[in-house]
Amino acid sequence: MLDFNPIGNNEKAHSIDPVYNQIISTISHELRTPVATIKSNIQLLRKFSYDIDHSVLEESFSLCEESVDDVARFLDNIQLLNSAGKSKINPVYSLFRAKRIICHLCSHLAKFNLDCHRIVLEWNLKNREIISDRKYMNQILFHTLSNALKFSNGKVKLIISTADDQLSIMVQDWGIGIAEEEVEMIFEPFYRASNVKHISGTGLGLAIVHALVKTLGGGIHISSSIGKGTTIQINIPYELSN
Amino acid sequence: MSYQTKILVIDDDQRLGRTIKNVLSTEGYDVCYANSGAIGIQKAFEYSPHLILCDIKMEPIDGYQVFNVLKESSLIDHVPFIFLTGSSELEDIRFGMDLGADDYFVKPFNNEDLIRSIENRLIKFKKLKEEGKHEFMALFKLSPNGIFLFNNSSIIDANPALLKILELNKDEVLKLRIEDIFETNFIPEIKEKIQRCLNGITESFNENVTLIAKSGVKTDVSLSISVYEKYSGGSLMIGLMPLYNDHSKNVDKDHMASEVLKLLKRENISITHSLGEKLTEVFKLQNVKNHSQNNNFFSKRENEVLCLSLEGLPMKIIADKLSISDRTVEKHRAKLMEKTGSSNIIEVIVYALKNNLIEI
Repeated sequence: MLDFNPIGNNEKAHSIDPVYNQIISTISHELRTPVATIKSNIQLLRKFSYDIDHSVLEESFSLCEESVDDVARFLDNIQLLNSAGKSKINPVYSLFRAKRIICHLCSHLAKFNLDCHRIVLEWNLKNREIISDRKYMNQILFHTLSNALKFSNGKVKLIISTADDQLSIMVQDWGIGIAEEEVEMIFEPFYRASNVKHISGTGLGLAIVHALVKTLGGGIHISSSIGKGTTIQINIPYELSN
Repeated sequence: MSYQTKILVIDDDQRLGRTIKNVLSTEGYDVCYANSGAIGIQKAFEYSPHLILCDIKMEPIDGYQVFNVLKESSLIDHVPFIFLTGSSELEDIRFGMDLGADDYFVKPFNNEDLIRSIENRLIKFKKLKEEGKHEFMALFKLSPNGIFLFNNSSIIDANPALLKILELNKDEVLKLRIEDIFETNFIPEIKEKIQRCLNGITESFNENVTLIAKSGVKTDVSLSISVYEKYSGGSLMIGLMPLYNDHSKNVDKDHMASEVLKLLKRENISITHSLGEKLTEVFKLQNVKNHSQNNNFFSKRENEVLCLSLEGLPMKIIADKLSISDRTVEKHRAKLMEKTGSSNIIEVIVYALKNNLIEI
């Protein structure tokens, strides 16, 4: 995915390519902060040989653990994108109730300080049980909704329907939107629209959604207007148990 | 009296922020943690730290902006400011140092390096503080007026003049709470006003009260209470009491405000358009003034914007009157709402009235 060339055209890569800079800056930030947290906590524990206030001790361990999880999640995401780009990921198909794709969605969003109460959910299920990759479905929903919640303030409409061998997910928000000329770039890994510079993020979410939807043989369409909001329409084919 | 050194940590990464807080608390510092640039700026004023540690890459207000805002307010003229950065690029570091920061650390850093730097930066600050403390102690001992220090209503220290009035020795007074030395009918009023100071709404207040000595002898004094030192866990307050001179009682000026509050109560403080208009009508007739002496809660500009809003003037006119832009008016209004936890200007007005921040 990344074209590292430490010696050859080094200068060119550094100064000219803003995408390259953006990638390095994101990776640096995403890794440095958790690593700093881990290092600092380990030093604290060592200095006092664990002989510190019990609640601080407990917190110290959890902070380390959570930071390691952060790093792992970031690496997982990068690797997923890399593998997906080379068609190297294989979905695990299983039969499950369509409603289960929203399992743990709220608690997952809450971990990132996102309020799922803003989501207005509508089901339109012709088939109640489908065969697909449940884990991927969960991730697709999570990243799509976390974007919609992050870049808007009000309600977010989510319509999930199953009909004609297609699972359809429609996510609509009335937030800041994406500029017309940037819409086609939005699925590029690490790409962040120019109007979200003041909101933190890695630029990986929609790239992952895109990669997973493609892997499941589906299609994704995004329509957006700056200042008005964004609608993402995802269609994923599925099979029935018989 | 314990003087703990206060450090404000500003970092939008909660995990690293909490970690630094734990590291520094374990070293004996009083640490206040803010998880955004905006909260950091607010805390810098509320908490008045001795040193500020600030992350650079934060959104939407970054570390450089935090530094510049505090520099403008002359707050960090004497408060050491240390940057934490996620980037080891020389350019970024130089930019921070050129602004006038005292030091910088690249993440991940060594705790010991950070602690050593903090100690060094604090030496100068502490020297200034010690001088101040020395002067204060002399005044404390020699003053003919009663002086006492307390936190969370427990008395921490009292000077000889006050001990004499109370007929107590020092050990006895340290076991007391503030309600033990005043006549009971003054207590609710005093406590409420202390709470207002603790909440940062006012810096100080005056009240005529009666002291009760060990033997039951009563002495009328004019009590002035003010915040002496702020900590993350509470505040150290100081009470001063010259002997009471028979001033005429304060006339109750709050009649109008209480009428408005009654009206709001009846309407359940739901801010409908018509209620907003009613409020404006009530205020239009009045000459609005701010309690500038005991109101450090809002800035001068914020007060002006608030008072003009009270008169029901539209944004454009307010902007013209103050010779600032619409956007700046909007910014001040946003700040007013943020400070008072309100979602619109009417709620700000209600808050200001309730807390005696404005006078009508």
